[in-house]
Amino acid sequence: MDLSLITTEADGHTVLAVSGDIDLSTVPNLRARLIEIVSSGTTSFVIDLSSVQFIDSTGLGVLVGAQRRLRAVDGQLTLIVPDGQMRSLFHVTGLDRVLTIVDGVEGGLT
Amino acid sequence: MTAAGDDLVVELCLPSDPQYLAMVRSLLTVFAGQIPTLDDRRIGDLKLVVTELFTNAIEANWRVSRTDGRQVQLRCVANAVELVMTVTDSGPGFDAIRDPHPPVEDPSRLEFERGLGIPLIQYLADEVDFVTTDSGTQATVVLRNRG
Repeated sequence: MDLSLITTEADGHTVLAVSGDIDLSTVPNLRARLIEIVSSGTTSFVIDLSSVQFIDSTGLGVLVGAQRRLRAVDGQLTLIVPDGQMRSLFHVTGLDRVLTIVDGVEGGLT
Repeated sequence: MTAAGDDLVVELCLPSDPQYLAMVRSLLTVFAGQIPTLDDRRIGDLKLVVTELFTNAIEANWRVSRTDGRQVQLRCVANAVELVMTVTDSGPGFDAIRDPHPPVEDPSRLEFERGLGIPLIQYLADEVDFVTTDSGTQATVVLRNRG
């Protein structure tokens, strides 16, 4: 399945809405877009994974990379990940301890 | 796809190309649906496990060559009790036991984008075995329903 990446600005945040499958075939496009957004000077970045049907470890790794790049510029990354099987992957890998994860836009963007 | 006794068997041999990953997930979803071995949640786990194994195999083959036609082999056998999946590459092998990455609670873990796949496989599968020889690596996992 192709990956769809839509970037919007909302209330001072840059929001990247991702839909489709994230795996080794689509990760290069996602990584390139994340680097592009962080390089643009964004310091409040939200990645909305609500419409992602599948994510693997390469996708999780790219999110870790985005967090690292944003921290280097004192930025804040927030992930929107609805509760469910995908959310559990962040817990299993321990990434929920190093990434800010909310259920939805109403779940904690400030 | 073939039936052998009470077992259902599927075998694939595919190029080392990530474009096949979605197809492999779809095929195994249909395959697992043929036998009431795994419920929907475990089929979701199966899709992730096969993607991780296939990705590892592709990248292992790439470490030798991206252009010499190396392939990834998959064999999956399911019955009413369990699903056994074997993925084989012809790469240089790796050490599945020794994780070179810091633990996730260590802030320095953020320096590494890689290394999350094997822990996920080990968590999701009921049995995991990696055998590396001079001719490549064979990964075998077993999945059963969890209560």
